[in-house]
Amino acid sequence: MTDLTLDQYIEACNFPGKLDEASVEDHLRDYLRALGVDKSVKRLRRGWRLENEPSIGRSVDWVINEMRRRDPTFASVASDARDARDARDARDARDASDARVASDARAARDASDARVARDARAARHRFASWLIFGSWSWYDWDVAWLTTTYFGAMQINKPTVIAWTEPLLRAYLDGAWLLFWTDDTLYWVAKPTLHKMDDRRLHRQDGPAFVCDVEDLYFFEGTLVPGAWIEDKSSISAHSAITWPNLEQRRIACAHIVGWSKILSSLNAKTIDHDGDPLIGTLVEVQLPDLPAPSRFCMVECGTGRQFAIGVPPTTSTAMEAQAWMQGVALSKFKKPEIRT
Amino acid sequence: MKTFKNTAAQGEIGIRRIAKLPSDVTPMKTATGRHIIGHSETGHHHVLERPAKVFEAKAATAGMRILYAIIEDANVLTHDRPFDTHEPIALDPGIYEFRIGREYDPYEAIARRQAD
Repeated sequence: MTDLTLDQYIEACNFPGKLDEASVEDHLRDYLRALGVDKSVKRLRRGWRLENEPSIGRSVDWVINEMRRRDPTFASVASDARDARDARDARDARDASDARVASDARAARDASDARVARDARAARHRFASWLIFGSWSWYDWDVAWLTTTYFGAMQINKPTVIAWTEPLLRAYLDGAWLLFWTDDTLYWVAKPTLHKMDDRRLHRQDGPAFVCDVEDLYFFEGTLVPGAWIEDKSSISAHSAITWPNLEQRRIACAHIVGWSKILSSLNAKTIDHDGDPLIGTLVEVQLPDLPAPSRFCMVECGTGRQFAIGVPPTTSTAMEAQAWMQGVALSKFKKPEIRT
Repeated sequence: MKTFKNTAAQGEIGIRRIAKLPSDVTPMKTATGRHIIGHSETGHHHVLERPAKVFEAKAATAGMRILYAIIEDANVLTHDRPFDTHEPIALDPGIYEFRIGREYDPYEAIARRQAD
């Protein structure tokens, strides 16, 4: 019988907690023995580089080839990026249908060779991180999740399952968080440090909210944002903020990173129409760089009380007309929603 | 949970009760039993909580996605997000149109679906 308890497991779920590296690796070797698998065990440390981990590189290549095989759309986009030095595609492989991949490829092609090579390495590294986080596969190598099997195996007395889950649980209690399998190595990642708001949303205003040896990630009020926005607020301009493709990230950029007042003043915003209802909004006109004519946005509050700026055609003359256009109906047929949540 | 008679909105999704399903639609399948009405890049979808017959307009206005649902048993449109959640909206039996909002990209001069 083993001596592990659910209370120990619960305590180990408070990250980052204890880290005993030697003990983790001993337990993971026991885990491999129980599975009958012969691989070396290695911790993936902060600052790791893909060029020093050739077996991770082989996994990355395998996944990219597999994605090409399964998804012809990805294949064409990937080959576009490949033409531009074989890598910018990697970063956005998860968004294979996303036009950004193609535009990244074009940007890479236009850049200098040195810049392209550096971007390619960075893209490949980001893609590898994404794989290690388990985003690629339907299965999950989060040790917190895997080790719950131990408690079920104990309840129904399954010695063969206990044999591999017990050392894995011990590795978890000693600090292992993620596993990543390659052809010759079982990599493990220590538990991350999380910065959260009272309601558990990831959030930090002066650095990454998710501090992890694989990759640090930046969150603002629960929304994943580019790290540069947090590290250097001046890295995003007013026009980039108001035209940012993702609405949630745009809201963060406009409201918290750049600030609405700066956006409106720096773009010489002019109010075209102000509806009394904040859920219908205010139509503003701004002059965006590189455009010959002013652009119009409807600044509107959603049902959750947050403010968004939505682009509308320059011919729009009222906030209500903007609302009708957003819904793809003629103004004469547009009916204000009875409720909006 | 909010209720409505004819028109409602949940985030970028406009909801309208209609009398008849248009003819130019194609059925939408779901692998999970819960249809995604509004897809989110970050996984915070707007979903129908219970099974329904859902269809997509074959020829929507530029930048739009328009879905229809035949609701036979009472259903709920839910926003799958633990924070800044759009309140659920009850859907009584009937036929509904869902218009996923669009926006204008001034640099490309095109309409595109609002993405969050």
